[in-house]
Amino acid sequence: MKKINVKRFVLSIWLNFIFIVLLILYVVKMFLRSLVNMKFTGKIFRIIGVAKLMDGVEKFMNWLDGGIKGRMSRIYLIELSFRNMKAKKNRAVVTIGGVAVGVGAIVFLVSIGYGLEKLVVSRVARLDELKMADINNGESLSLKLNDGVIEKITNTQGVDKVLPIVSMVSKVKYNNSVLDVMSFGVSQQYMKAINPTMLYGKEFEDRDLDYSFDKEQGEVKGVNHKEVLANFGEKVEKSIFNFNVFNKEMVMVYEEAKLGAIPLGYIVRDENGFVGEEIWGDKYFQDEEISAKSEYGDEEYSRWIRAKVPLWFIGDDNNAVPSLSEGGIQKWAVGFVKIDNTKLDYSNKTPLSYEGLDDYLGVGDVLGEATESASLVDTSEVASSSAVALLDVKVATDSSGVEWVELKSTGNDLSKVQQVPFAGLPAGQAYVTTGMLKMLGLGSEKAVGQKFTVSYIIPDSSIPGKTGRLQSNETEYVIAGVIDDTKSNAYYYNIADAKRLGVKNYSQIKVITKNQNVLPEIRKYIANLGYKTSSTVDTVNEINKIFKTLRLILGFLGTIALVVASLGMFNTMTVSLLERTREVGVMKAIGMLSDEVRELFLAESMIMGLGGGLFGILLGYMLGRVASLILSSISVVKGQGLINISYIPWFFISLIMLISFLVGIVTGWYPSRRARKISALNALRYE
Amino acid sequence: MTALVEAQGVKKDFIVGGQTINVLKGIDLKINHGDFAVIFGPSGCGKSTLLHSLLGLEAPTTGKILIDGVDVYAMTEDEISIFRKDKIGVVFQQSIWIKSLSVIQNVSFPTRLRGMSRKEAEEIALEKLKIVKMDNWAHHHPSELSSGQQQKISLARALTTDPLMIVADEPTGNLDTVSGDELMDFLAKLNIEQKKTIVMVTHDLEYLRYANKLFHIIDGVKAEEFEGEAAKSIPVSMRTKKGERTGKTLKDVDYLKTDGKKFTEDKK
Repeated sequence: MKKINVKRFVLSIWLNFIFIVLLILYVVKMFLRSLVNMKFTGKIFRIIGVAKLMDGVEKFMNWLDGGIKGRMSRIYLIELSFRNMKAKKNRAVVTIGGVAVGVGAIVFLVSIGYGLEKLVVSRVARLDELKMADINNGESLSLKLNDGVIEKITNTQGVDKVLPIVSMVSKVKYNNSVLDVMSFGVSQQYMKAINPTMLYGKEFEDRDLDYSFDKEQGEVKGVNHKEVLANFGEKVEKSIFNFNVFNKEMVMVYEEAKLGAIPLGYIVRDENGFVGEEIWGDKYFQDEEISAKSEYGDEEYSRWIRAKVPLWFIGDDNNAVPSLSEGGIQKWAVGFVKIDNTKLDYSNKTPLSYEGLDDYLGVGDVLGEATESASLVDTSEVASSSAVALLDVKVATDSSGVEWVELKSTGNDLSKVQQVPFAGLPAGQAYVTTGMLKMLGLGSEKAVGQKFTVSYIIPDSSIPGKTGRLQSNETEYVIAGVIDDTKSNAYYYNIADAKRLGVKNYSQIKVITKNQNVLPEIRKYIANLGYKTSSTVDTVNEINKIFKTLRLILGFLGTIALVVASLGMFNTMTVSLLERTREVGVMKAIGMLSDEVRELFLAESMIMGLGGGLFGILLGYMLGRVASLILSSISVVKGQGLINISYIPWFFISLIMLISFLVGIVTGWYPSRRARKISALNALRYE
Repeated sequence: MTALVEAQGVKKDFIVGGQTINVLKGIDLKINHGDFAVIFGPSGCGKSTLLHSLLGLEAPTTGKILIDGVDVYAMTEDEISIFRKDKIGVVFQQSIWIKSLSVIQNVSFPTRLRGMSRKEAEEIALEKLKIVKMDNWAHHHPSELSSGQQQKISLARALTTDPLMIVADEPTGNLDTVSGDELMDFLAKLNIEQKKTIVMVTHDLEYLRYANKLFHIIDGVKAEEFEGEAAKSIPVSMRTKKGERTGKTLKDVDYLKTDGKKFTEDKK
C-alpha cells in the first residue's frame, strides 16, 4: 500500500496554487509592460504610475516565488513557456484562436440568452415594478382591505409605500350613450407607481386624499377617524355567514353577549360548520379593527357571534362530550361566542343573503334584540332549517339539456338597487384611457375638458354594513387627462370620490418596497395575514425559468465548439511535446527536475487556455454587439428604438475564465505528464 | 586520495524482445580529480552505456557508481538530477538547444535552473563564453551558428555551474578537424589550467593523445587501461571485435579507421 504523505500533498497543492497566481500575475505584468512600452501613449501610462505598479507586481511575484533555494525560479519557468510559445508564434495564435472561437461561441450564445431575457423582462416590467406587489383578499371575504391593513403593512420594515385602489364598474353617460367601463379610484402616488403615459392634460393631482367617511348615515367625521358608532346588540353587518371551530379546539358559548354571562357549553368542530351573525356586545379585548363605540362615546363594544349551535361539555378525560337533553338528543341553543381567531375557522366565511340569523332560522324579525332569543334552548329538534325553504327554487333545463337549479332569494329588498349618495362634493376629475375615448367616440386631442355623467356600481363588500345592490348617485366628471392605453376602457379618478360613497374596503392594495430584495419577505408576511399577493416578479420569475433552460441549451451548443477547440489544443500540445523531446532531454540532462518540466508544459497550456478565454470573451462580446447593431438597424427603421440582445453578467465572465483555465489544465495534463517521463537519454541519443 | 569517479563491477543488461543482452559485463574504473579520461572502443562496445551510467541516467543492473564519494544510484531520480546539476557539466555529440532562447540565455540556463537571477546568470554565461571565445555571438540564436561554434557554446554551457567534472559524449563527432582540434584544445586547456576533470567518450583516435587516462572498452569489458605518458603515445595490442588478437598499434586498427573517417582521410 502506498502511503500518502499528507504534508507533501498539502505542500504540492499550495505550490500549484502559487504557481497559478504567479502565472496570472505574469500576464498582468506583461500587460502593464505593454502599456508602458506603447509608442505614443506609453508616456501617459508612465506618468499615471503604471510603471510603479509594474514594479510592485514584480516585487510581489519575487516574494511569492521565494520558495526553495537552489531550485529553478517559477517566474523563469513561466517566462520560458512564454518564450516557447513566441518561438512558435503561428501555432500559438492558431491554438489560442481555436479556444477563443470555442469560448466566444459559448459567450456569444449565452450572452444572447441573457440579453433576450433582459429584453423580454424589460418589456414585461419596469425596474421599479419589481419592488411592487398587489394585495388581494383572495377568496376570504372576512378579510378586508381597509385602512387598518394599510397601516399594519406600512409599519412593516422595508415597506416604502402602501397604496390602495378602488375598482368599480361605472355607468358612463355621454352624448346619450351609456357605457359600462372600469373605473379606478387612486392617489397621485399610485399613478406614479403605475406610471401611465399621459398624452394630454395635466398631471394627476391628489384631492381630499385624507378624506374619511364614517358612519352609515354619511356623517363626515374628522380626518382618519376609524370609529364605528353602534348600540349594544346591534348587528355589525346585515348578513350571516358560515364559520367553524378549528380541530381540537373548544369555544365557550354564552347566553348573552356580555362578560359574565352564563355559559351554555362548548362548541367543537362540526363537519357542516355553523351559521351565525355578528353582533356588537361587551368589549372583551382592545382591537380598533373590530370595535365600536356608543353614540356618546361612553361605551365600547366588541363583536360577538350569535349562532344556533349544538352544545358540548368537557368530560372527565378532557374530551368533548355532547350535552344531552332528557330525551337523549344533543342540546342545541342560540348563544354568543367571542371572536377568537386562534380557535375559530373563518376559511369558509361566505356571507349568505339574509337579513340576519333570525331571518335564516325563521324565528322572525328580532333585530337588535338578541338577548331574547339567546335564552331559547332548543332541546327537541336538530337545527337543520333548510335554507331551501327560504328560497324560491326554480328548476330549468338549458338548451344543451343540462338541468340546473336556480336559487332565488326571497329577501325582498335585495334585488332592488339602493342609491348611495356622495357625501359632499366629489372631485369629478377623470383620467381617461384612449381605449375608453374610442368607445365614447372622442378624439384624444379634444377630450380634455369634456364632461360625462357617472354612476358607480358599488360592490356591497366595500361599504361596511351595507348589503344588496348599491349604486351611486349620478355625478358629473370632467376629463382632466388622457392616458395612452388603447387596450383598456377605463378611467382613473381621485380615490376620495369613492370614499365619499362610504367605500372603506379597497379592491386592492399596492405595496412598494424600499428595494426588490425585501419584497419576497414582505409578501410572505402579508400572506401570513391571510391576503393574497401578486406581483410582476412572478411573471419575471417564470420568464427567468424559461430563459434558464434556453441558456443551458445555448451554452451546451457553445460547449461543443469549446470541446472541439480543446481537442485541437490537446493535439497541439502533444505535437509540441514530440517536437521538443530532445530539448526536454537536454534540459533534464542539465539538471531540470521532472516536475519542473511538467510545470513548463502545463504553464504553456494554461496560458493558452487563459488567453483563449480572454480573447473568447472579447470575441463573444463583440459578436453580441454586432448582432445587436444589426437588429437595432432594423428596429430603428421600424421605429422601435435600439435593441441590445447581448448581455454578459460579471459572474458569467469569471465562470468562463475559470472554465478556460480548466480547459488549459485538462488539455495540458496528459502532455505534461508525458513530458515528465521523457528521459534525459533522449538528448544523448542521435539519429 | 579517493577517486572522483569510481565504477565498481558495473553490469548492465538490456532486455530486447525477450532476449537479455549483456552490454556491460562488469566494469571497474577509477577517475581521479584532474584527470583527462577518455573512454574508447568499437561501436556497440558499451562505452555510451557506461557514460550514461556515469551521468546518473542509466542505473546499472549490478554494481555501484560513486561520484565524489556519493553512491549515485542510492539517490532518487530528482536527487540525481540535482546532483548532476551541481557537479557535472555535459557536452553532447550534437548540440541541442532550447530553441526559443538565444546563445547567452541557453548558456545561462543551467545556472538559472539553480535559482540564480537573470543578471548574475548572464554575467557568468558571458564570462564562460569568453573562455571559448564566443562572446561576440552571445545574442545570436544558436541555430545561426556552425556546429563547431555550437559545440564551443555547449562547452561554455557545461562550464557555467563550475562543475567537478565535464562529461563529453563524442564532442567532436560532428565536427571538421579544425573545429574538433579547437574544441579539444579548449578541453585540454581547462584540464591543465583549471584542473578540471574531463571524462570523454570518443571514436577519434587522434584525440587519445590529450588523455592521461585511457579506457579501452570492448564487448562490455574494460580491455585495457593506460595511464599517464603511456596513454599518450604507446601503440597497443588490441583485440578486434571478433576476439582475435592482433599486433597492431592503435592507429592501425581497422574499425577505428572506418569509424573515425575524418582521421583516416585527413591525417594520412
